Amino acid sequence: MSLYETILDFLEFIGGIFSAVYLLAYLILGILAFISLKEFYRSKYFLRKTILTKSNQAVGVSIVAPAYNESVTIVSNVKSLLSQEYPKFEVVITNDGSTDDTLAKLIEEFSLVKVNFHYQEKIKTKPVRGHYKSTNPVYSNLLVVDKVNGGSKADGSNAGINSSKYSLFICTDVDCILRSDTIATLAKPFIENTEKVIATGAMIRISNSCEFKDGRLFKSHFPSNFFARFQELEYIRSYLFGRMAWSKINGLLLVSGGLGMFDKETVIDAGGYWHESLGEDFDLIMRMRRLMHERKKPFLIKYVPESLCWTEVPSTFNVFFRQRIRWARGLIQTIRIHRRVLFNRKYGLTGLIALPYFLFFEFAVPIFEVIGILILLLNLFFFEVHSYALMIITVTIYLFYITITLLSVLGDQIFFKHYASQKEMFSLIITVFSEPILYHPLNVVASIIGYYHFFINKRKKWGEMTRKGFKKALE
Amino acid sequence: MRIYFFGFKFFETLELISGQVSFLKALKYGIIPLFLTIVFLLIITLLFNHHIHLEILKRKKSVEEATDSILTQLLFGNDSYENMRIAVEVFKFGVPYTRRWCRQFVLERILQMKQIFQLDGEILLNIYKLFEFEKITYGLLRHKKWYKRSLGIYQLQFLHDVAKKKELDLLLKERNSEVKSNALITLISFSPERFAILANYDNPLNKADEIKILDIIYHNTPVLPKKTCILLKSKNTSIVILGIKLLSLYQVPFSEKQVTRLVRFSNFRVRKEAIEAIGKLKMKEANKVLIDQYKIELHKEVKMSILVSFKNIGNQENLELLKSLLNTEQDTDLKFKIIDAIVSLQPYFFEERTNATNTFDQETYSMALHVKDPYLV
Repeated sequence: MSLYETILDFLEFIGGIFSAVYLLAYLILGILAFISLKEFYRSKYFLRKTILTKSNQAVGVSIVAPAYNESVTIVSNVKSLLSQEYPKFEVVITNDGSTDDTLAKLIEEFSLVKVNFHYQEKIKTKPVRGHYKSTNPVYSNLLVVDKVNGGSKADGSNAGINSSKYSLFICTDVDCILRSDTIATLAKPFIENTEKVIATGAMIRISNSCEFKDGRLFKSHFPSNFFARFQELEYIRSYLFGRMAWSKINGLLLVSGGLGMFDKETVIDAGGYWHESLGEDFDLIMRMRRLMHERKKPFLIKYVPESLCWTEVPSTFNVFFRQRIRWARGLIQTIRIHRRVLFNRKYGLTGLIALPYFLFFEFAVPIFEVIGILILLLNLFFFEVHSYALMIITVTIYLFYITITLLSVLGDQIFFKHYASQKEMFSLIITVFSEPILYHPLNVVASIIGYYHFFINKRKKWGEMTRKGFKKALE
Repeated sequence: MRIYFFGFKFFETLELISGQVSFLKALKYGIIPLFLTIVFLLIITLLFNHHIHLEILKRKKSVEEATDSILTQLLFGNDSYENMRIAVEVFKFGVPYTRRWCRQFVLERILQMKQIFQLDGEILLNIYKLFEFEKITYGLLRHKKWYKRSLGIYQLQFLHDVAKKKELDLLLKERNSEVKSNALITLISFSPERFAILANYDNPLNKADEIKILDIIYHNTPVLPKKTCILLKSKNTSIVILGIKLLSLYQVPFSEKQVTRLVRFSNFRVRKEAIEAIGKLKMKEANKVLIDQYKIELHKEVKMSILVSFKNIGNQENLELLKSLLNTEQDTDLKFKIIDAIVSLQPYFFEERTNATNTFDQETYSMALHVKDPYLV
């Protein structure tokens, strides 16, 4: 047997074991997600949200949203954030050195004046130029922080966290549309649990094609754009399948930057968002978890399976591809930074299960897929290919993938029932079948490029996404 | 045989282990047909579920008007019981009442109406009985699944069906903490003046329980039971905290003995709650105890609460303490509260001192400006 054949034999064996464990992991996640969803819906009569939205005993929450050059939509988006149904909250908008008239529009619309705010820089940020409050009592719960641009969302968020007054805060993007009971829904786990909850997250949906009225969702449609529709599917699977499962075993490593509620004290102690990070949301949760493990304090990170936030996703190839490359870099960067946690018993579930899962099944999968294709090509060139076996196994894997996605979509339909027509359901099903062929390879390529950029230490570039704005419902 | 594609070697090994049954055959004749069946069933279920959802939406819309009309008539029509019964029978005949979705819709609508109009429990209970929903609720209370029992308790609380107190008493002995908690809250909602029964409750209460109980008391404002003070003696610290909150809500000041005991309580949450209540109740007589406690207190949150309370009950003695702390306190959060308290007790302290000697550092000056800014109060 030649050396070449021995190497291929070895890789084949490893590849097979890896695939089998991957499928098993998915099955386990599926079961956990199902149990978690069931538990969530069974406990909904424990504390009704209506009590929370009216109680004078409610815990205060700050909504922190950084804005950079959001002049076109800033006023309507801030109004939407201010329309939350909750008795005790404030909205903290950070104008992160916008070069357009974002701040001027805010000042004009909300009658803002500069105030003598004592800024405590508990998390290091770029200099803050000033704080603004409204002279109109209607907007008394709005605070605008004007600062020098920090080149990242993290810096803007940190300035907002430093300026916020409540012990819990929601981190979101200023262009996100939040459901009116978002605060109450995210705060519930903090109130219901006797153990310390350090963060909660919820489902984010895609706003492309949806109709909005008075800053709220009016009608939900399945996106018509090629990239948006695959991302919709990806979000459903990732939130309902993955995150619910990790929440069940308290192993959640990711609370999306688009929407999450956090315990401010823990975030500050963990150092806030890291402005150099390309996956600042993943990195923050990792640091919060590390901190709690090191302090040997029990904690919970809970995920709520409800759609609370709508955001616009990339709808062109360039923007989409750039975003995915950045995500891949963020993933490898975060894993590398927290490598000491890996397989370290001191970090409990985080070190022994959750982070290794991210390493093997989030980071390594694209690499294995590429190696697999390369070996297949080598075999095609140099040996005879067992096409029958290849076909059988490919079909099995494909069907497994489809089943997982369809189960997630069914769960989504049963619990949320989002789409307006049966035609959209057909589109969704067709997307499910075409995703592994048309969309998944793009993600794999973007991931590999992202890893490559990370290893050659290419300078990070955020890029800008041109927003199309929200479609308004017809009156 | 040579390897043919990535991972095949492993499957080949599996084939050797399995012996008689070929792995590929197992996939071809077992797993793939199974997956195909599942995929087919999932698609059918998905489409059917969505179709049913759209249909029910349409149907609900069609019965919405009739339901709202009958409920408005029943609630505000001042009809006799017999007339109401006839109206309900006519309604049932006019809509697909035998269908589960329809009954569910009417039930939800009644509960919604109760919430919107803050309706009297007795009227609602009568309407509920006319639709024979009480049987569903009572059935739920005895259901073998805990979450169904929880739903039953929820409906009972909405209906204010005090006749079912005994059933709730039984549910208090449940092992499931959620059912137990819900039963307790519902019992309190039935007779808010009896909240002293909490003294014997041994499970820890979380913030959600506290909110629910205080919500009931807040909306019903019953007469404060004489025995409320016994909550402060409970061995369960969460009950002690609730007791403090209740006394604060009723503006009942603590006795001197209670103040000393609570401010020096071993659990910091109790200390914090008691100190905040003392501030809200403006108990100036507790000032000395708070000053003494501040000097020995190690918990930052409790120290902050003491400083906040000083704003309400402070005197010259507090002011002197605060001024001395101003120069020594290193923690910025505490320093901020100290300045806030000083400004409350002597509004022009910083201006007078600045004019005289200009002794303040930039941080202190900035904090003083913040606490005095009218838009930041």
